[in-house]
Amino acid sequence: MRCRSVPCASRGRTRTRPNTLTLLIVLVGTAACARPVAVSRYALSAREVTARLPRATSALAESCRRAQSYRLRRTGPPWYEEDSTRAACAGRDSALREVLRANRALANYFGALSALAGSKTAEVGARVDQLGDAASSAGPFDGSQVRAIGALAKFAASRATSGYQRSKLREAIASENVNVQTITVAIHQVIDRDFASYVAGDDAAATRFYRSVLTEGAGHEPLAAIIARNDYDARHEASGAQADALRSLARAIDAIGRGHQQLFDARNHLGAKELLNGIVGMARELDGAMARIDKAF
Amino acid sequence: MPTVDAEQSRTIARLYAELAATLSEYRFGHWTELTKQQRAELESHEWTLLTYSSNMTTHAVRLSVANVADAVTDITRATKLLAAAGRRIADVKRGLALASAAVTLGGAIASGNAIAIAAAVSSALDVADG
Repeated sequence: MRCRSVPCASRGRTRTRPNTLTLLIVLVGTAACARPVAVSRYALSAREVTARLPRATSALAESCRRAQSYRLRRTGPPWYEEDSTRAACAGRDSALREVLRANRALANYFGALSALAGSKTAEVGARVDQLGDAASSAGPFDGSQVRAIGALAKFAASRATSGYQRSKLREAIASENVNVQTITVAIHQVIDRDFASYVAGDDAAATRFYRSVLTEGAGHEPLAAIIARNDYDARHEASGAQADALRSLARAIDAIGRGHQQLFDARNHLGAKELLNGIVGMARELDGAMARIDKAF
Repeated sequence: MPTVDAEQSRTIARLYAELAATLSEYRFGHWTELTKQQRAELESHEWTLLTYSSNMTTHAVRLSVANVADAVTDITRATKLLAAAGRRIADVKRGLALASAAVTLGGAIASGNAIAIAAAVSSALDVADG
């Protein structure tokens, strides 16, 4: 951790210009320590959640084809082509793609936010260390000059990168909060209500199909009836798990919106400990939700 | 369906699904009283209603997403700006690497060590090219 190098850097400097060096060290320490960790942590978790949505939409697309195959088997001719189910689900497929497009915009935003917030100030520090090493091996500089070069460079780099980084983060968070809220509210509603409705409808189709088949044929084919019933039970259980996972996903999307609102409210103090505590709590909530989603999709 | 909004679509979808469920319960509840043809006719209606329900849900999804199209466009633009900011920070890092290489070269020249000078020149060129 770079901040721990501050006391070390102070040793040996007290011999020359102690006041200036002390000031320099304090400035370097301040610039290097107050990183927008909360933004980075938030954006990473948010991006992870948005990465789950495509799995859910794939499952819903597959579920549509299955439901249509039940319908065709019950109402159509004895044989049907795959094109028939695809055509019947084209509308849903297209709507799901549109949801994914909005989700991708969110995911890309969180990715860029995460990249900028975590923008490897550590790498900057490593470069500065290289500068210190280089100065150390160069003949014309004495020890205190070498340390001064390193400290100045670190200060300049930290100020240049983290000052710029913070202003850009602040700008983005301020200008995009409304958009993030708008999109997360819409996606939350789509998942919580419409996707849930798809799962319920497709499950109803399965129930209708198996119940009809079993009612008609259980007396003639008892063994086949047992297998069909087992098949239905597994399918019905999977639908229940998907419904639970969708509720978790919807809540996670909602939490993403709330988290961005927290960042927005604290945009002038992005390094504040209170903000970090709040975001860490939210990130844990998202981690729990992702574990539930991963079980079903 | 231009005059039906997302909320109305959801309501209609739910009503279709409920109607399909009612027909289904009737069909199974009166299984023996119905002819095979009547059962088939009822079931066909059930499937049609389920499909309508799904289509109305799809309509609600489309409208919900269409309502946020402007926000999606805005956030995509902001993402590009963020990425550009990230690239500028990378430039600062590159500047530091160049400074580091320059100091090494300066020190090597001052020391008069030919091997060190050659190595430092090579290193500085690598960084400058990088």
